[in-house]
Amino acid sequence: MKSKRRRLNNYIDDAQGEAILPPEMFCEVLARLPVESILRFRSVCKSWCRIIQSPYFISLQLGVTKNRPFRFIVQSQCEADMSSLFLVDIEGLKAREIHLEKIKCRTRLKFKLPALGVRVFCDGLLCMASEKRLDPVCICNPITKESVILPLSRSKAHLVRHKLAFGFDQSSGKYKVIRDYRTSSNKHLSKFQIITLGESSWRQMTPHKIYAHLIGMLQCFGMDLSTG
Amino acid sequence: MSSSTDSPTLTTETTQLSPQPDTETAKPTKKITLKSSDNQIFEVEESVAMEFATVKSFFEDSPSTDTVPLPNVTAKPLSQVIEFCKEQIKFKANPDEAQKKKYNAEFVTEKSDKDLVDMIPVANYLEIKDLLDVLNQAVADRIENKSVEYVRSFFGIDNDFTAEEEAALRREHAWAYEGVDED
Repeated sequence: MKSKRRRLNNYIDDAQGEAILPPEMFCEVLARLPVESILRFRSVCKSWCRIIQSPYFISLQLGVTKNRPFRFIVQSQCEADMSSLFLVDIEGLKAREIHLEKIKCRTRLKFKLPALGVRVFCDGLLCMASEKRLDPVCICNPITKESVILPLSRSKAHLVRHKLAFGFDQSSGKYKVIRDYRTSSNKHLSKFQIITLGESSWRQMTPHKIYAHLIGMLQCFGMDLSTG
Repeated sequence: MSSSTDSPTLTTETTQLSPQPDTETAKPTKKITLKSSDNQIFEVEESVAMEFATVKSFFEDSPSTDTVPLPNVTAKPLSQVIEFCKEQIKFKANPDEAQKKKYNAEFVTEKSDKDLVDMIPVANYLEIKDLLDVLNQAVADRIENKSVEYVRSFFGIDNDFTAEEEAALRREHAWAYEGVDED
């Protein structure tokens, strides 16, 4: 509290009493804006651009938007047209197209992002994977057009089932992906793997352990463990 | 027999109890003096001043003071903030969410852009969370569909990007610059 007050004193002194909002106050206003306004206002000035990319702002903005779930991300199921996503605003009856080809990736891609389907999403991040292969699994932010490829499992196995769950673990403050897959050589046995974003490899899990993990994860959709 | 004599006494007791809140409001309330950075004096009721977390903690630290200096706050936004808090006290006494929403909406609608922006640091400094929420949302609503140039002049911000840097940012998310309101 004291440090906050001191900071406020400083900025007022600097500006000779002129009411100029310090950066942390811009955050509270900006976090309430829709995503296109936030992106647009990165070009207001350098300090706004910096604020918008700061971890503090990102978590603040997520907290605000979680209370207003008014956007949907839709991918066409038509094979010929998987290269686009649509960001749909139901209330405003607007849709924007996002081209997956334009998404940047830090590692060189040996595959095409659009060839993967969007399997699950959480907090506006997409978890993309193939239905037939374990590799690759990609997490991408369609708005900032950034993505990461999760560590590869180097398995050539052909899958008959590949279900993924993607969520935010409140206790560790990290995103996790859990998958349930069956290979064509053993069609009736489900295997489970888990990875925390930032880890170097997937870990095999027993269903029992997975349930324990799920309890800690707030948003975890898309996996039906009861049939395993 | 005894029960019938008891009951009238009980009723008189309850009737005596009910007017008590009135006598409490009738007694003179303590006034607190706030002094703005431009040396203007504001006398506010203690209940209003206690809405300002900063003032409240000031009094907890030094209870004997009679004037609270607010070196970061000028008179105009302070008077508007006091006006807002006075109303909020009434809603605290008689909760009416619909009326409160209506009042809050009117409060920001009639303010100029500058008034809203000037009140944010004051509400922040005095730590009035309800008002901050109302102000932040009102400012967000006013700039939501506006151009970058409009927002710069709204807040009085200088553009410190080079033309190339700005063009690069615009190219990156060209779609975010479509469909903005006329300035």
